[in-house]
Parts: sequence; C-alpha cells; structure tokens
Amino acid sequence: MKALSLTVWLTLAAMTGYAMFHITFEVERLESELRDVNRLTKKGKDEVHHLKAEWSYLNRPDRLSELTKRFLPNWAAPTTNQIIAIDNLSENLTGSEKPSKTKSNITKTKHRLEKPERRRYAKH
Amino acid sequence: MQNTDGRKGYPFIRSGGINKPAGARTINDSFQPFHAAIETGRNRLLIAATIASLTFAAIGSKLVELSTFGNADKVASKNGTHVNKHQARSNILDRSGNVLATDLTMASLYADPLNILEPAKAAAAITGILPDLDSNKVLSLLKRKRRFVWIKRHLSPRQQQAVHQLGIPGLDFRREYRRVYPHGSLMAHALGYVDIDNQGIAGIEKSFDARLQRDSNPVRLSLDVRVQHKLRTELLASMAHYQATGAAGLVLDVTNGEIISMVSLPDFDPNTPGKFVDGQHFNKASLGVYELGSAFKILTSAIALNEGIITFRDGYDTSKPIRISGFTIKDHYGKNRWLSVPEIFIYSSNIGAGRMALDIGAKTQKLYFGKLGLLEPADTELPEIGLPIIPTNWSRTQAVTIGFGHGISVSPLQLSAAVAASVNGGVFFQPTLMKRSEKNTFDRGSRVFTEATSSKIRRLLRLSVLDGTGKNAAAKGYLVGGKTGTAEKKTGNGYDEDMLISSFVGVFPMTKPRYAIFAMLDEPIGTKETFGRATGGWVAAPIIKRVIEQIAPILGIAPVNENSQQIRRTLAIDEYQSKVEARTLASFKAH
Repeated sequence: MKALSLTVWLTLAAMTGYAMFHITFEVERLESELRDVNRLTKKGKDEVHHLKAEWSYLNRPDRLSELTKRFLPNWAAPTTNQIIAIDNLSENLTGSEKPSKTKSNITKTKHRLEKPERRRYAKH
Repeated sequence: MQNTDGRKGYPFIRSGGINKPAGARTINDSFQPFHAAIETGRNRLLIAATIASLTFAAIGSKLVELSTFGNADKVASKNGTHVNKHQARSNILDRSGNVLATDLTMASLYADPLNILEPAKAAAAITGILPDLDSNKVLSLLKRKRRFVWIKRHLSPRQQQAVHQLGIPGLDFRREYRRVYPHGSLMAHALGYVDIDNQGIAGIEKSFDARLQRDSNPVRLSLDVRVQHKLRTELLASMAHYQATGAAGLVLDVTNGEIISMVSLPDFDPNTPGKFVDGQHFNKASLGVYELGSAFKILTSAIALNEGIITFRDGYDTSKPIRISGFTIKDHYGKNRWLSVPEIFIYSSNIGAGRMALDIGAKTQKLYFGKLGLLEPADTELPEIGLPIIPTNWSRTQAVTIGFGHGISVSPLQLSAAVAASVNGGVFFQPTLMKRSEKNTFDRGSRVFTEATSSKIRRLLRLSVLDGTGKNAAAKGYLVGGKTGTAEKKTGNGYDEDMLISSFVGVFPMTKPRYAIFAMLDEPIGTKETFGRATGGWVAAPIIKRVIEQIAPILGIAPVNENSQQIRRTLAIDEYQSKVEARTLASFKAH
C-alpha cells in the first residue's frame, strides 16, 4: 500500500514537474513570438508612417509645379476660356437649346480624355 | 512564524494535552509523554504543511496570473527599442487629408561620461561625423561627472550608423519622436511649431497641444494645401516686385467661416524653429492689427443700408471737406460734386463715407462693429490673435474716421470675416481653422444684416470692380466683387504718406458668394507700371485677380458668361445705371 501510494505520488510529482516546465517553455516561446510579431507590426506601422510623410513631402505643390515645368514644358494652367460649367455647355454648343444632362456629360468626358493625348503626341 | 514550533502559540499542547492548563499534573502523567509527543509532532506537521501549501498556492496563483493575464508590453519592452516616455503627437491634416505635420522616430545620441575611456579621442571622432558640433563643447560634456548627457538630438539614419560604427563604449542612442512638417514653410503660421521636447509652442500645435498628445485621431484643418500654395506664391512674387516688407493673405469660405488659406510673409520653416529671425514668426493675418482703410466703407454702407438711413437713390455732397474737432477730411481724387451712394462706394470717397458714418452715429456704429466681431479678438483656434485697437472714446470724430477705415485697427482675419457677413446673406461666422464637419457643434452664425442689405452690398462690391477702384481685380468669368483699402502707416503722432498698408478684399462669385479673399502688402513701393502708385487698387487688386483665376478651378467654381442678361440683371444697380446714362446724355448734348 505504502509502495503504491509512493509510486502514485512520485508519478504525480514527475508529471506536475514536466507539465510545469513544459508550460513555462511554451509560454516563453509564445511570448517571444508575440514580441516578434509586435516588433514587426510596429516596424511596419512606422514604415507606413514614414512613407506617408514622404508622400506628403514629395507632393509639395511647389515641387510638383517645378516638375511640371521641367518635364511637361508645354503644359500650362488652364485659362478661364478653357473651363466651362457642364450646365453652361449646352449654351455654347447649341445656343439656347438645352440638351439632356447625360449628353453634356459625355461631351465633357470625351473632351477631357482627348486633349492631353493630342498634346502629348503633337510634340514628337 | 513564532507559531511554527508551537512553543509560544500553543502552551496547552506542550503541557501534554488539550484542555489542560499548563503545569497541571495527573496520575496518568507517566503514560502520557509518548502520546503527547506524537500529538505535538502531528500538529507541527499540519501547520508546516498548511504554510507550505499556502506558499505554493500563492506562487501558483501568481504563475497562473502571469501566464494568463501577463502584461505582454512589460515583457516586450525589456528587449525592445526604448522610445522616450511621451507618445507620438497625432497628425495634422489639411481639408483633403494631406499630411501637414507628423511625428517620425529618430535617434538621439547621448553619452555616459563615466564609461568613456578617452574623452578627447571620442570628442574628435564624434565631431568628425557631426561637424556642426563644437569639439571643445563635446569634450567638456564627455568629461562631466554624470551618467547622462545629450550629445545631439535627432540624428539622421546615416549619422546614427556612422556613430554606431565608431564603437565607442559609453555612447548610446535613444529613440525619440521628432515633429516633421513635410510642406515646410507653406503653412508655417497656421501650424506653428514644437520645441525640442515635442511640446507645441505656437499655432495649432500650441492650441491643440493636449489633444495632439493624448488623442491618436488626426486634427483636420480647414486649410487647403493647393489654395495656400497659389496664394503664397502670388503674394511672394508681389512682395518682391513692389519691395514690400511683408504681406498677408486669406481665403475664407463665407458660408461657414472656414479659413481655406492663411498666409503671412515673411514666413519660416517650422522644421528648423531655432533658425528664424525676429519678425518671421509674426502672423500678420491674425496677430497683426492694422488700419485697413477703405475696405471699412463696405461695413459703413452695409450699416447705413441696413438701418434704412440711406438707399441707392440717396447721396452726399462731397465737394466740401468735413471739418470736425479740428480735423479736415478730404478726398484724394475727389469728384467735387454730389455723389450717389454707389458712386461714393466706387470712387471710395472719404467725405461721402464720413458723412454716412455721421448719419449712422457712433453708438449704432459701435453696436454693429461688436456684432461683426471687430471689438474683441477673433475667436479662432490660433493662440496668436491680435487685440483690435479701438478708440477709448468713440465720439463723432471717431465715427467719421472709422467710417472710412482709420482710427480703428483690426486684423485681416477680422475684416475678412466681417466682409463675409455682409455678402453671405448677412450672417456672421467666427472664422475657424477647423473643418466644420469635424466640429461637434455646427456654428449657425449670428445674423447682423438683412438678406436685402447683403444683396445690395454684393451689387456695390461688383460695381466697384467693374467701374471703380477695384478694376484690376476683375478675374474674367468669376464675377469678382471687392473693395480696395489703402492706409498710411502711423509714425509718431501723424501718418507717413510713403508708408502704406495696401490691401484688397474680394468676394467671388458675386451672384452667390462662396469665398472671400484678402491680400495685403506692407509698405509697397510703386513701380513704373503702376505710375509710382502703391495703393490697394494698383498693387493688391492684381494679386486677387491672379489668385482667383488659379484657385477657382481648384475650389470647383466654374466661370460664367459675365455678359449674360440674367447675371447683369442680378448684379445691376438701376439707380446708378440711370444716373450714368443721364450724365452721358448730358455730356453728349453739351458737345
């Protein structure tokens, strides 16, 4: 009886010891994994943050205007004559007759799409 | 712990039995010692076991707590990079979400002088990499009997790498946040700047310091990067052209008081706050108060029309100067005749406006100025807000001079907000740098003028640009209206004719005003093209024209045909037109 009880107790103690160490190591491993994930997340966030700041820096209006001057020398800000409200477009095209809104929209889009292309190829 | 051996805590047990007082002996005493010893041993064992169990339970519960609810941050920070104690400040964005101010982590170099073996060598090596440091100063820092000295804050990654490669023990880095303004000086005055410890000390950075440090949500301003760029570029160009000492500009949404653009020149780069010289940090648009001259005639006319003192049919004799309390008020380019109200406005007659102000009276004038926010500092988000200079004794004389914009000094921001109220249907909005949609409470403004008065002011402003002193501001297609303002600067007791504050306050499109725009040059000098004149109409009005032509497409205002019947009818002043026609006819007959 004594031997049995001793065996049970020793087994239990061994199992507990094993379980304790196992859990300890597992916790350490998970914590280290968590640390890595947290570190990578923070790094990623920091990088995105830096990139956003850089994007804003590269999109400075004065820089964009310099770049436009350098690489698109034929481009200029639109003059008042080149801009027209969609609602007023009908007056210019057909006098007093007012076409449907859809039609004027299509005309406007077409005009916008074509104009830069024409300019680009005209240079070559 | 005293009780563990049972001696002090259990006197009854030691004596050989429970319930027996110590020292009491019985006949069976000779048989008892063995039994009593076992009993004592058992009890001691029980107590020891209980204590051991409790200790294990405590350790166990702590283990469970740590493994289950353990604070991962504490563990992570042990080996992670150390970031200085305060959190990053949140971003400041413009109205479209462009980043205007953000925090980046940067390395700062510090030393533990007691760990530095050869300070002289170390100092030489450090200054070799960071040439802007003084080697003697670094050496004295490294020789201090302290455990921590800053060598240089905010190193670039390349500098950090170079210092790291020196491998000098006792040098280390600390990660710190540094405020970065990607747009440089573009919005310097509105944004303000922070000190080396990232505490806001000017502009929005100061007024929103607590929120920026606490809240991770960005602060979204009403400013627009693109509009700001256009206004600043034009003001810079004109400032250089007319050799002005400074300039200021504003674009205001008249429908809600949002400040779309705020420029003050000269400006500074908030990324290097230590480097600017005196005067650069002064915000001329909100902190500077000036006698802004004739633009006040807009307000004088609006008050008189609103109070029913005048109509467009009325007018005043401007052939004789006003003499009041020893002052004589004259017109610079007087017409020397009776002028109708629209004429007084477009020819910018001081005598006419002065007489109008006399009819209004000092009391009513002051009342309206109070409603238009001209007597108190503007209630906006910036800490740099100028206190208006108003007369202590608002007498009839003061009323007259204030009628044409002298004797009262307000900031351009205040004037723009007051003018916005006179054209937007008569409602005054406190100017704000916050995007209205971001604000919790929607400011409905306070009514100052009637819709009818506002409509009349819109027509007067349009007429001033078509036929009056503001012709140079006419951006074709955008129905600009506005008023010039030229004031001589005060020097000692009098005014200096050669030192002018020349401004223009414009509004567009006049049929349904959306934006008020203000431009001011400080002490401009006339050129050959302006025939040597440096008045608002010559130097400030052209800025307004060029800026509107560029920003209107950005702000979604399409040009219209100014000659269309409908628009002409909306903005026409019949009384003025008939007078002009009659005069033309009369001169035709005379010939």
